[in-house]
Parts: sequence; C-alpha cells; structure tokens
Amino acid sequence: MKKNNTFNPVYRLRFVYIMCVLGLAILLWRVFDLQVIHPSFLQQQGDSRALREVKVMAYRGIIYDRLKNPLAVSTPVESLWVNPLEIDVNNPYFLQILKNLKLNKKTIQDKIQRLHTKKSQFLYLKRHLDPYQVQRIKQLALKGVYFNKEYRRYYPMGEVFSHLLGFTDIDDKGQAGIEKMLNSVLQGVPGKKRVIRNSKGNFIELVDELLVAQSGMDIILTLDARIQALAYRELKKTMQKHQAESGSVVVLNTRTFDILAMVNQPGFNPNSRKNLHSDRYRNRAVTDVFEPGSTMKPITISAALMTGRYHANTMIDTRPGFFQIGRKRITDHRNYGLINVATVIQKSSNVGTVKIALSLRAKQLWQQFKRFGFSQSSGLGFSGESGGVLRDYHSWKKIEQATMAFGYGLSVTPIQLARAYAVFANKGKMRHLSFLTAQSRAAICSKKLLKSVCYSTKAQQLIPEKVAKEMLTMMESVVKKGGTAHKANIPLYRVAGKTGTVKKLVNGRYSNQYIAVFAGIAPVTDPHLVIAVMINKPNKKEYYGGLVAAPLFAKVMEGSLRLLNIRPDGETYQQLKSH
Amino acid sequence: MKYFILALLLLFCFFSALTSVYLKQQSRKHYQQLYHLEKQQDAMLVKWGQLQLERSTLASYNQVEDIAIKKLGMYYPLLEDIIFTDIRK
Repeated sequence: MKKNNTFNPVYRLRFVYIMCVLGLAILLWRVFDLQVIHPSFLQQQGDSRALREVKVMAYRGIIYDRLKNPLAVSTPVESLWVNPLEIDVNNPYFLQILKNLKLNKKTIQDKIQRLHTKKSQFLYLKRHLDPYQVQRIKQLALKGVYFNKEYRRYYPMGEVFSHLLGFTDIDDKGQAGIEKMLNSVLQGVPGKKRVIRNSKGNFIELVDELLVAQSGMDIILTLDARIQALAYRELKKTMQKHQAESGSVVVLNTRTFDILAMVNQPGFNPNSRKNLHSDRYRNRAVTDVFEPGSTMKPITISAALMTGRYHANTMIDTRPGFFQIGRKRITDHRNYGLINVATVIQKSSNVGTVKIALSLRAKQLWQQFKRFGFSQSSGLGFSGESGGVLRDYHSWKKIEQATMAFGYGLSVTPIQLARAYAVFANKGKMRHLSFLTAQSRAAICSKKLLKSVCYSTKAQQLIPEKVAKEMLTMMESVVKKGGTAHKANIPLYRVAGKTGTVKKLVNGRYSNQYIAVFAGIAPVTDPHLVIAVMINKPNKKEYYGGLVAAPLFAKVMEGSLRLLNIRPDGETYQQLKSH
Repeated sequence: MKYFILALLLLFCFFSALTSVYLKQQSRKHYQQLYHLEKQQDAMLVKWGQLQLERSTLASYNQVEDIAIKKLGMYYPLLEDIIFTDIRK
C-alpha cells in the first residue's frame, strides 16, 4: 500500500494557488471597500485623531525708547488646559498637579464634572506657567492635559515707565497707558493653520495655512530711558523726604515738543499685577488737574507785554502790600513797594500781578490762557486725560479775573504747564506734543492704523519772539539771588523758571494743604529743555515751591542736560573757560 | 503600439505616485524641522525676555551709579575738575 498515491501533488499545488488568489481577492476587496465605499467615514475618523486646526498667536509689537532700549516685550509662555471628556479627575498625578499649582481640588473636579456633562472640551487650568512647571507636567504625559502658547508682557524698566506704558491683561490686550492707546497698532492679527499631529502631540505636517499671522508693529517712543530713570528716582526721593501724597515730573524738548520723560508717584510694578489700584496706575501728569498758582503769572504778564502798554521796566505800585477787591483782600508776603514788572515776577508779587491783570480786558487774559493751551487737551490721546478748567470770560467777575491772573480759579495738568512754558523757550512758537518718534508716527499713519497720531508738527507762532525773550529774562531773575527759587539754580547753565505754592482746594474751601510747583527752562541762551514739577501735599514743615519743587527741578535738569550733551552757557562756565 | 503607450502611461502613473509619496514625506520632514525651529525660537525668546529683565535690574542706571560711587569710588566731576575745550576752533 502506497500512502503517496492518495495525495496528488498537482492538486496540492492547485489548492495553494487557489488559496493565494482568494486571499489576494479578499485583500483587494478590502482595499476597494476602504478606498471607494467607505472612504469618508475613515477619513473623518483619521482626521479627528490627527488633524488639528490651531490658532497662531500674533506677536505683540515691542515698545522701545528713543535709544532703542526695549520697554515692553512679549515673550511666549504656555497655558495649561484640560479636555474634560478625556481627563481622569482622580488620577493621582493629576491631583499632584493641582496641588503644585495651588488649585482647589474640589472646585476643579466639580468644574470638570459639569463641563463633562455639557460635553464641553476645554477648560483652562492655569494660564502663563513658569517654563519649569511646564517641563515637569509635560513629562507626566497625562491624557487630556494640553498646553497652548500665549504671550506675556514684560516691562524691563519696571515701575519707572509704569504709568506711561500702562499694562496688558492676561490676553495681552492693552488696558492702560500707551498699551491701551496703541493697542490696535501693537497687537497684530492672529493666524490659523491646519496641521497633522502625531500621538505625542507634536505637529508633523502643515496641511493648510488658513490665515497667516501678522505680527504687531514695533514702536519707538521719544522718551529717553536715562532721563526717565533719573526723574523717577529724584521724584521718589523728594516724595519720601517731604512725605508728599503724589507728584509728577514732565521733561519736554522745547524745540520739537517731544516728551523726554514723564513720571509720577505713587507708582506700581507692571510685572506683578497684584494690588493694582487705579490710584497707583493713573498717569497723573496728564489726568490730574491742579490750580497752577503763581506759575500762571508769566502767562498773565506776557498778555500785558503783548498789549504794548507794559515793558519789563514799567513801574507798578504794590504798596501797601495788599489790594482790596470788594470784600476780598489779595496780599503779598511783604510790602514790596514800587517795583517794576520784572521784579513782580522775581518776587512773585500777587498785588503787582493783579494790578496789571485788572488793567487788561477779561477777553485779553482769557485769550492768552487759551492760546497757551490751557483747558485744551494735550492731544496725546491718553484715556482719562483731562483738559483742565477755564471758564468763559463772559462769566468772569472782577475778583475772578484777579485770582485767575495768579493761577486760582482755573486748573491745569502738569503736561499742559510744561507745554505752556515751552512756548517761552521756543521763541513764542508752539508745536503738537509727541511721545512717538516721527518715524513711528509715519509708519502708523501710512497703514492707517490710528488716526489720533497723524497730526501736523508744524510750529505755530503764539506770541511775538520779542515777548518770549523778555519773559525768559524775567524768569531768569527768579532763580537768581533775591528770587523765590535760587534752589533751582544749576552750575554751568543759565536757568529760567517760576515757582508756585498753591493752597489746595478741599471741598470748596482753601485748606492749609499745599501743592508745590515749579516750571523751568534751560539753557536760557539757547533753550533746549522744559521741566514741570508738581508735588501734591508735601508735609507742613516745608511746602514752598521754591523749597520742595525747585531742588527736584535742578537735579533733573542738571542730569538731563549732561546726558544730552548740551553746551553749557552759565557764568561759572564762562569763568572756567577763560582760565 | 497601443499597448506600448498604455504601458508607458502606467509607468508614468507609477512614478508619479512614487514621487508624490516621496514629496509628501519631504514636506513632513521640512515641516518638522520648521516646527522644531519655531520651538527653539520660542525658547530663545523666553530666554531673551528673562535676560532683558535681568539686565535691567543688574544694569539699571541707578545700580550702575551706585556701584560707581560706592564700590569704585567714582564721583561726579566737580567744577574745578572740568576742563573746557572748544571743538569749533
């Protein structure tokens, strides 16, 4: 018996062959099934696992000072979010994360539960994490835990620029200051792209760029970080020394009307936004009004000079040291006797100023105040900016005309005061104030991003050059021996200015609280800078503008002139040079 | 002749399929590179931001002045230290 006979090798081969063909046919059918009959279903399944539409955050523009020091910079940070449908809320690692991030376990679990029932797929656990924390959480590779990229704003100069720059919220949108005003310029346009993601969450293929992200524009300010830092430090020192409540300093270039520094106290740290109170972040130099007091006298006197009836040497009788208007009495510190107009400014005589002011028509005085920009916004465009108060001359009474002449009954902001004094310094011409360089303004305007910065910087002659010169000479006597502010003197340079010591109006009555003011110009030969200083409520021992505000002015002015390499012109310089 | 053209077309078809696969692979590769570079850039930006903050604290104008005066014994030039020259001459 041969076993082999029952098994024919031909059949065996044929059997294998048929099986192969059958197997191939099944595979082909499967291919056909996948590719032709059910492709959309499978495509969808695949896409939902791998295809993602992601938002591309736009980079917020950097803010630089005029020396290209970065003042506000956005850096990427990651925010932690979870998918409530995927996360296991009782995973011990997850609970550890909550503990490390100091999040309440119960509230988060409840929240996730609620969103889970609503089929919601997104919940921020914590935004803007430290890179170190991100690293550690990523290593755990928990299911349902994701990160997305956001930007966080840093302010390298900290509180020095805090009021001017303002700050952004957690979504990197401007909330105050320049950040708010120029938000549309800085913020850019976020993009969108479709990508394929692998199982680790890395993007492996770009499928489609739906919208290309556009970065925000970088802007350059006219401010000088060195002068700003100097002004801030000196203001802080003065505030502490005199236990004052608040204060502002503005430094202005008198030729271009560019703002070189603008600082306020109290300040805040923009990098840590805890305890943020509007009292601290208000940019007082443009928002807070005060009665300018004696710093208004040069403007009143300039109105008198413009009539042609007065000159620096015109004699004014200030005897007997007071002047009666109805029931009100206007007084001087002492009886100055018969003095000329220049001395009225030098000694800051109220009686002299009032006598001159009352010899003018109310309209003339009002027009002069208006001309110097009082009651008109600075044009800078900050939100919350105040234009100050100046009532129409039709409603003035005689006593009001008198008090307004020496700065009571109207109110101004520090920036307005600086701008007005810059007119004296700039040969009687005024320009539009700027905090943006011409280059940045041109870039913004050409793209039509923000209209409010597209102004003309053409100079406007407000008062004759001769009058401006005369006023400068008068104001120079204020800081000389016998003037009210010899502490505003600085060696090497000639300085002109005017003090103000203002009684503060509290609930409609003049109290025994004061505001110390000083506005000054240097160098007198060829003016370059104006600085306005305002110190609110210095303590009662020393509150005179000449004692509180003038020394601060001198410190900031001296430092600024040195930093800007401005040629000295003072007597000391002439003497030293001749040696 | 007919069959020859058909074969040629099939061949082209085959190669085109291969190239498409190859190019897709290349595109993924390049995108991955881009993705990693973007991540690197982010990391550098973070670092830059930190360094900016660090620089501004260590080299703030007040700090420099403080060190110059206290540690290095420097001072602002007194009037008698200053010698004037006229660059216009």
